[in-house]
Amino acid sequence: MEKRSMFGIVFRRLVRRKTAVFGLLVFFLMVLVALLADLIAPYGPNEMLEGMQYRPPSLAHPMGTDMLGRDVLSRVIHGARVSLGVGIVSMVAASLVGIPLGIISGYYRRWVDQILMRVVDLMLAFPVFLLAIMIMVVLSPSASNVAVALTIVYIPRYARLVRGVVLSIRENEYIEAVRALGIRPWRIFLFHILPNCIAPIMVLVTISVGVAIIAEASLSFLGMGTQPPTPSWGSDLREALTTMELNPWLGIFPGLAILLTVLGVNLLGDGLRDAIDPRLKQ
Amino acid sequence: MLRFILRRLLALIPTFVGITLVVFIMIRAIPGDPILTILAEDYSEELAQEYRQKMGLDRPVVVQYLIWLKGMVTGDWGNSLISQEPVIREVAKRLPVTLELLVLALAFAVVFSVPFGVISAVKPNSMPDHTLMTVSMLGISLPEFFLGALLLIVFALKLQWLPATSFVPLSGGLFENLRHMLLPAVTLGSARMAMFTRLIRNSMLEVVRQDYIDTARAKGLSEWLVINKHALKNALVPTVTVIGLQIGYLIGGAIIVESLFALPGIGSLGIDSILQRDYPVVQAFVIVSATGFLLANFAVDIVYTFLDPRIRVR
Repeated sequence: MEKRSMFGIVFRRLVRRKTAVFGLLVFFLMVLVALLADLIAPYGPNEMLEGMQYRPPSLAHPMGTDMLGRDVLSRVIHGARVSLGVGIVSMVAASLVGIPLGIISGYYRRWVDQILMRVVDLMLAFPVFLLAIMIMVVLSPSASNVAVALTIVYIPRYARLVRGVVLSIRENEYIEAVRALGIRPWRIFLFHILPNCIAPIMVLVTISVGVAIIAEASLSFLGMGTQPPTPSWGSDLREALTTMELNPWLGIFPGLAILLTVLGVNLLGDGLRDAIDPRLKQ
Repeated sequence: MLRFILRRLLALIPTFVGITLVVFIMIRAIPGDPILTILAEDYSEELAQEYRQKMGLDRPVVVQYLIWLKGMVTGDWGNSLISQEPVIREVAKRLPVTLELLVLALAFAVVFSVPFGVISAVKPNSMPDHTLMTVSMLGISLPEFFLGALLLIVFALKLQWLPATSFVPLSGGLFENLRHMLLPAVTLGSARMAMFTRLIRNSMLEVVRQDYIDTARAKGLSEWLVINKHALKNALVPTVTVIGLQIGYLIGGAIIVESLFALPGIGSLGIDSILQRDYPVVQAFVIVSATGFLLANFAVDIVYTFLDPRIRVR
């Protein structure tokens, strides 16, 4: 009951903000596009149309065709799968590992906390993108390995955030009370600590999905992520670069797809933060 | 103050050792035998054994790490597998390019974000505020390589106002150098400018609600003085810490921007070496970048304590 009403309040505050609603709609639209790619894309992502190389946008091909006669619209639609898939999966995975680590670290403190936080500190000593590149050096370049890399990069960030929240929560009297009742630690974590961490985590997850989408596209752009011919906005843009002066649509549409998706996620994250913590709103 | 700086500097050593340990493990975690890569077609069991001994690969891992660490600290970074040149020489040649790019991008971001942030905060929810907030949100969501590609096509290829993917070092004249660095620096700095604009706006809105601002106004000071002298100074303090965090993104972005504009910096060296599997160069690239990040954060820490002396007393 209590939990549902909190989400109800947050949701009602969220939909009052036009920009947040726009972000939410864009994000859902993109998720829908990714899920239904096979149904809505007019052509296969790697289907080469005979004699149709480098066609500018037209009614038949709203985003034109590329050097191999592939329909750019279809590739952009299928590219949503990689971008959103990697972005969402890696951030969900990172929070599934990072949240428990943060709770354990903040709750038990002492040596567990010491060890975990030293490792976290060390990982945070590397810039996000550099650490992702380092992991990709060890793994072979592919979309799924990018997801693995971004998961590893974000685990310490979630753990650090959650630990901070838990440190302040565990001093509350109600935690002392449930401990005195002899409730098992995992029940305390799940029902008494976790619900209080949800709000800041939701904001961080949303915003980091945007960062992850840009990171995936950037890695693919550099040739270290998703490999052609798998459609990915980043690697498609790289392929388009050499002829982009003559055929700008090849790069512009994948680029706009990234911009729109990340913009949606960022607006949603911004709105969520204001809805969860109205003090931050001016 | 000097003691404070020294103490902070010493505190960096464990992190630096940690960074080298991570890089050491990373290079060894790469699948494949390095001897096989080096010898390639000349491979024979005896030769491989000889090389293993020469490179100390038959020693215990801890000893290997210590030998390697000693080399890293004393500047013996090995030779590139591709060019056979000493890695440290290549890094030294390219480091100034990356540093210049980072400084220009940061300067671009700060110079524009401060007035933008102030304009936004002076009249919140006004037309200029909404415009700046919308544009900055777009700026944050725009990946460097897309913005860079667009700028490249419009200003270098179509209008031909600026050079495309070429580079002139500072020794080739300041003007020519800046002409070549303009597009990369703007590309790299834009997202940070957008970020800072929003931060300074929020920070300013926080500050102008404080009592001392009312006092300053009550004294009869002009609004210009109140905003730019009393409010802005204090609003910039929290922004400085965030700049430290943002330097990490700048370093990551520099890798992409250098690669896109073919600038001969550390980032493009790193990417090329990764794609060519030139591991001595890869490890130097990672250590230099991470150490740069470490030192940048250290510098921000020191600047912050200068701005806010309360921090020093702990």
